[in-house]
Amino acid sequence: MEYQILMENLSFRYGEQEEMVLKDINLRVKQGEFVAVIGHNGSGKSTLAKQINALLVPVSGKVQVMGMDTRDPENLWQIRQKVGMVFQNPDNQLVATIVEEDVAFGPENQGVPSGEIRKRVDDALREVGLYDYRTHGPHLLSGGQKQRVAIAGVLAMQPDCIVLDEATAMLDPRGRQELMEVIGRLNKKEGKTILHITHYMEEATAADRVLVMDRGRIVMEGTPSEVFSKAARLKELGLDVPGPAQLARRLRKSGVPLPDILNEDEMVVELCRLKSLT
Amino acid sequence: MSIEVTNLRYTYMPGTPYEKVALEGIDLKVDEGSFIGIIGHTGSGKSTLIQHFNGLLKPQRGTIVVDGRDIWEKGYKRSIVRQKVGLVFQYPEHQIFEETVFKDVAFGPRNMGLSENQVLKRSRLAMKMVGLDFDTLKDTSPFGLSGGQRRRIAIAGVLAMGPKYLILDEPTAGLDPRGRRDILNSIRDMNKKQGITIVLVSHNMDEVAWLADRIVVMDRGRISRNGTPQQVFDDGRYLMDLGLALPAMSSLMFKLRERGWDVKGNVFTVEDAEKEILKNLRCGNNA
Repeated sequence: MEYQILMENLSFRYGEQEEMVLKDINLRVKQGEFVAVIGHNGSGKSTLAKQINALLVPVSGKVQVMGMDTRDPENLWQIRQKVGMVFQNPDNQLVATIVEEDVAFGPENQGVPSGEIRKRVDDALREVGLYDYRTHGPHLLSGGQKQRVAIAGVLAMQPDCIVLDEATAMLDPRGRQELMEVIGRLNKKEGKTILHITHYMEEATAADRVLVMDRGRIVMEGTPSEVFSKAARLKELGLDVPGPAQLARRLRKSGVPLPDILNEDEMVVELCRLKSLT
Repeated sequence: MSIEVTNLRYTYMPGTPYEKVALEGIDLKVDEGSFIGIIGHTGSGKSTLIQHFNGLLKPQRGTIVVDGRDIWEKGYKRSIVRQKVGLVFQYPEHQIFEETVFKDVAFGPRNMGLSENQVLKRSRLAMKMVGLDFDTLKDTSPFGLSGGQRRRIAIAGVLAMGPKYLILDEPTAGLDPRGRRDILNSIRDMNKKQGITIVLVSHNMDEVAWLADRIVVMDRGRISRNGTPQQVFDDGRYLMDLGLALPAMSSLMFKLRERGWDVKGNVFTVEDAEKEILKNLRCGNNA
């Protein structure tokens, strides 16, 4: 099975009288890929995310997760175990009064033996750097920490794929950075497939592939450098180019021989290299 | 005229084992017509502070003086301060409840007991200030609109009360880049064209660097810095140690400085960043 997520001619609308909010989507995501999804509010990003773990199912076309069709109710449990979701508001997705109980909620529902649950919960909390907080109340944590508890809860289900639907939107800069580091590590070290929906263009630069959505369709797709090199098109779509990429383009126009640059660290390295040559 | 906070202290759940000092020794003056940005990490006291500005929270020590009157002195009608100081919470669109846009925007001024003519005039102006057309939208349901539009309608509802001071808590959270820009442009115009005093609480350093003429940094319930964006963002190390970020271009300059470049730290726009970098590269060439 080559593709972990496969969407073919997927269309979807919320009611029979309503307009399609997803139109003819074709998407293939491989195991271990890190895909970022950007697009204006209402472009269909969240609706797309909910198709992946069968919270919503296609009106026409099909979605397969690890070969399982999301329209078949028989597959629901397995799909939801394989695909974990993290949503925007940290306060809406924690259910227990103690961090470790919250993380244990998923595997408990799956009927995992208690010794195994203990191990999974400890591993998951270590993975997100919150093991020391395991007996705390979640309400005493910061937004970024709460989101990491939510990720730990997903990890305890041992998923192959994690879908983050604007999970960084409500966090302060440090919280966002912590969350992005955890996501990057899960992708690189644990080989988890990541689908990250975000309005922060600089977060999308960390992905292997960027999808741009507009009015229910995928209208651009490519590596971050391919997508963010098309500044005019992105602007039309209500989106933006990360600051360092804008700066690189201006500097190139002024005759500074810079390659394609997406983020600050690349910019610093390239500029220091150029300066050392002068 | 101003909002003047003096020696403010506020503790959550005082006298219980959960007691937590949220604000301590806060002195702050918000001058009429100014644009103030408040930054600080989650839990630093930003939201607790702004809820004192219009009397939603009562100081446990210290005073809040709005336009020369202590809002907690005996005989002061606090409904006055609630009109003067408009507070827009995070995700204000969650508080929309009326069935048409007009009814929702008009809710505040109607409660103030204004004439229907006045209510109409104010609602129209408020919607104009947030960049929405009153005539096209007034009879539509707010629930059918996009997130960015709903947010602007919620802000218009506060503006329709005619506040002199407008306090906004993370008004761009969760919006796409265009939605963010639209709202920020509206807020800038409210300040520059209508003369409304703005206090903007934000995690987005580029926003506050762009718009504010003063920036207040909060850390563990205290004001730790208070200065122009130029002053505050020049000390990158300090803000990073606090767990805050820098505006994108200041952050780049900061990293270049750490590697021995002679660039200014307080650079906010791509254009200025380009100038600084070219100056350095060309200096190198000449040397």
